[in-house]
Amino acid sequence: MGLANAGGGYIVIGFKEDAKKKLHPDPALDGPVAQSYETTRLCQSVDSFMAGGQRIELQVYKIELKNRLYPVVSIQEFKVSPFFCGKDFLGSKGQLILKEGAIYIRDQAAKTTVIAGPVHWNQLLKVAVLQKQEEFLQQLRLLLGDMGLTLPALKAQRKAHPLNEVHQWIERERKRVKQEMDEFK
Amino acid sequence: MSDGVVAGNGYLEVVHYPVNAGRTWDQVQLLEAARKSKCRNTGWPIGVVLSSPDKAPKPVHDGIHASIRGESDFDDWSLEKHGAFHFVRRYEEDSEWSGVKNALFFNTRIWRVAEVFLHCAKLYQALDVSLTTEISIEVAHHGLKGRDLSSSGPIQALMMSGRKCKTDSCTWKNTVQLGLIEPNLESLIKDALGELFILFEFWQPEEKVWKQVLNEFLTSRI
Repeated sequence: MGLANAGGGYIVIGFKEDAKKKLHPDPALDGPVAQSYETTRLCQSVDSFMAGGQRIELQVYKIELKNRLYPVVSIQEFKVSPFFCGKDFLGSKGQLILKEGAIYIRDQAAKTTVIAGPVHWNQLLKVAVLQKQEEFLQQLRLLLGDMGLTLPALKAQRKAHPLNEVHQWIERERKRVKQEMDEFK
Repeated sequence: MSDGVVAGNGYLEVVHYPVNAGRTWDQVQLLEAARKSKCRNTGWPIGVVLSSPDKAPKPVHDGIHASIRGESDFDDWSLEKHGAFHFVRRYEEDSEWSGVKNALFFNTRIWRVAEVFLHCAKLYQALDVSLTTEISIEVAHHGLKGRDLSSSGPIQALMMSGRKCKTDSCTWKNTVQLGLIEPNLESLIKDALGELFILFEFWQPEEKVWKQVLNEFLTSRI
């Protein structure tokens, strides 16, 4: 939830940090545990903590490294509005881990925290503004495309990761087909 | 329709792509792979490559795209330069020939999802993707709310009345190694469709039903 509110990202499962902050493979992550990470189940579990039918777009990948399988969870940023926590969750010792109604965000210090103060708020707004810019550019691209013109890609977009390009393409396809289907009815 | 559902609104949507193929393909290569990946189990394959000018795949800047429209049929597929495939088809159950309204045939769904997985495996093999590459696959059924689960077989249909869906969409997502799709076909289908069927008053097909319908699909050649 925090990562999705901070613009998305990846969570790599299966490494432990030692006292010198060096990463080592976690022996607890054996084959069956790694295999148990699965997109649909994880989505259902995460969605059960979301407010008002909100859904986080995520995907589990399993990457093999030195004969071990590491689940990698890819999390998309929010598209319309930030994600709210839908219910309280207590830890094994009764401590409050998630609070209903809170907005969590992954901050610069790589900690997930409840929105508190202008720094977090600005971080959240930045993601929302970038989303709106992308939406506007997309509409502009479609409009120019209809006129036989193209919009030069932004520098960052030219170097975009192939998976991001694929995800953007899928979203465009979905919108296009939905529109054509509505016209077809 | 008391649930406010317009009959004929439902469709199957499939998305898959290689997670780290590490390469791209041009439009000619994509078209060739699309041709090779056709499954011959049905008369109207997923990702069908037709030759008539209005229905044949067209090159677009990021891949190829085919749009096939009939009286009530709607097929649309695109194959992108990184190997991503997007496919949408209106439910065959909504065609006039089906003779029913607002139904979803469980056996047709098994055929279709079996073909989704086989087509996916054939497509990436045709694109020379390594068998150890992870393929992200998403199978979504939309426009379910208010539909009755039924069968294209009239006798089975009689035995299945009263299973209405209250949810509008069901999406299954997973990543599977390319080389493991065909060996695990049956379990993948059960996984993807088990989540759909259970939405119809907790329906779970018996083991022999899964096997029988899948076998009919696998042995069918058109």
